[in-house]
Amino acid sequence: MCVERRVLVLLALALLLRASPAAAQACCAGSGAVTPVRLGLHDQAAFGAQLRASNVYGSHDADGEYVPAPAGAREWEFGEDLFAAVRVLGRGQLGALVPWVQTHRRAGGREETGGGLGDLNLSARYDILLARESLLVPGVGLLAGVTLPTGRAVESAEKPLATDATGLGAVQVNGGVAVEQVFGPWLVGLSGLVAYRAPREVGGVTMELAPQWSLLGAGAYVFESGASVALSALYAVEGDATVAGRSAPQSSRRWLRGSVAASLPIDDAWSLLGSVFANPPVSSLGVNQTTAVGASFGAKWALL
Amino acid sequence: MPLALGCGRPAATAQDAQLVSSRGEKSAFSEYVGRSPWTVFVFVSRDCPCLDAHVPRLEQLVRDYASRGVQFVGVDSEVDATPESVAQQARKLPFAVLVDDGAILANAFGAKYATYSALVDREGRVVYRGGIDTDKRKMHDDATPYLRDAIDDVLAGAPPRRATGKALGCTLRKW
Repeated sequence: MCVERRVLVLLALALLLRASPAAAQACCAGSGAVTPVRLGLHDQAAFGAQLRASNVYGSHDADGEYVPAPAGAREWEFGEDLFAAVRVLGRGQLGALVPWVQTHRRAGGREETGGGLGDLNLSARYDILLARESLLVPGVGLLAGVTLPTGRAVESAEKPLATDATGLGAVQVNGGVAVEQVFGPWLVGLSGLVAYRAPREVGGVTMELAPQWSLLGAGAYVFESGASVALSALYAVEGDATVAGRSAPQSSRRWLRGSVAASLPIDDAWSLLGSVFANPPVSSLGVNQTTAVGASFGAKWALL
Repeated sequence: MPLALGCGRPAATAQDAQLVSSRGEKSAFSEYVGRSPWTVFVFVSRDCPCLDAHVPRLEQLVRDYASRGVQFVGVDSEVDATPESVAQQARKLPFAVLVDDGAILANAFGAKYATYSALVDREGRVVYRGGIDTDKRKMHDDATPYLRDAIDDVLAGAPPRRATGKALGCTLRKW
């Protein structure tokens, strides 16, 4: 009994304290989450790549209090993503995102860097109604996705600071609905998503993350040149995890991430993409989540 | 059968289309196409950058073919189109724009996007339908000129080398 309890406590601590690399990966796959690459109205296929870098400057504790990173602690996360999408069934599209993740972390007088292949994300979208088809009814799209645990889970990390952890460690299945409408040069969209994470065995104990609910709101302005700027906010919440069939108290998480993204078409096929993003360092806007600020830059090629 | 698509499928509902001019005058589809050996209907949308990008090419098409028996007309099938709005659109286009009330003509021709064009003979048969060319927004010198090719072919007395082409414009807001 005593041993079991100790295992549970250790696992809960591992879940809470050492999950940041996995959480960051899940978040990045999750924010574009279900449609990591979105085909344009007339695109038949697309592929691209993007680079990401972010700095963790603090965290929200289990009570939602924002706590700056301790003096001497440092964490940088880098990522390189390859993504592709192809149109199917006229209004449907399938996408894939392959991430590579690196983490540089300094804590407790130790400093290390690690990384590797992250979790592969596969996604699907079907537009029942396109934005602008109707004056009053917004476009409606059905979203689905699965994230496969191709990365290294935190419990499998070999480095002391777990910088070689690159994945969630569990299969994640997403579903959701997106609505969007065009108002002249403005595009406004709202997506609601839920992610179910399959249970997994960790040290002989079954662990299961709670379903994650997220809401993504975005507004974009398209310039005459075709360039666009988008402002978006992602808010995600999940309940307490379950360890060996028992709820792990104070393991729930939530976070808000805001971003400003831009797209610059070079021609009808090539476009450059960039964004800056941040978790606001405001208490109550996050729970059990690191706060980071970062940027991404990429390029996309589309086949008309 | 006065109206048939290039593949022979009838699109009888086009005959029901009432095209309204900027002055509010109504013309039946058959009446309109009967005015010229060939008519090009270009489906338009307000504030569509893809259509705007094609205006110089449309101007060139009108210059090259208007004197050779081809009339061009814009069609606004969007739900909020009015005689006043098409009058405004016509100012930046090299042809008149008509209101397609109820999107009857757009549905009959299968038009879903702005820049979609249909080349129709005097009897109302559609011999080509689809995009103006292979460009979307950035114009390229080596674009395949679908519509121009179709016009050249029919003026030479041959069927168009292609009956359809992909249109790359904004979604038409039909309802």
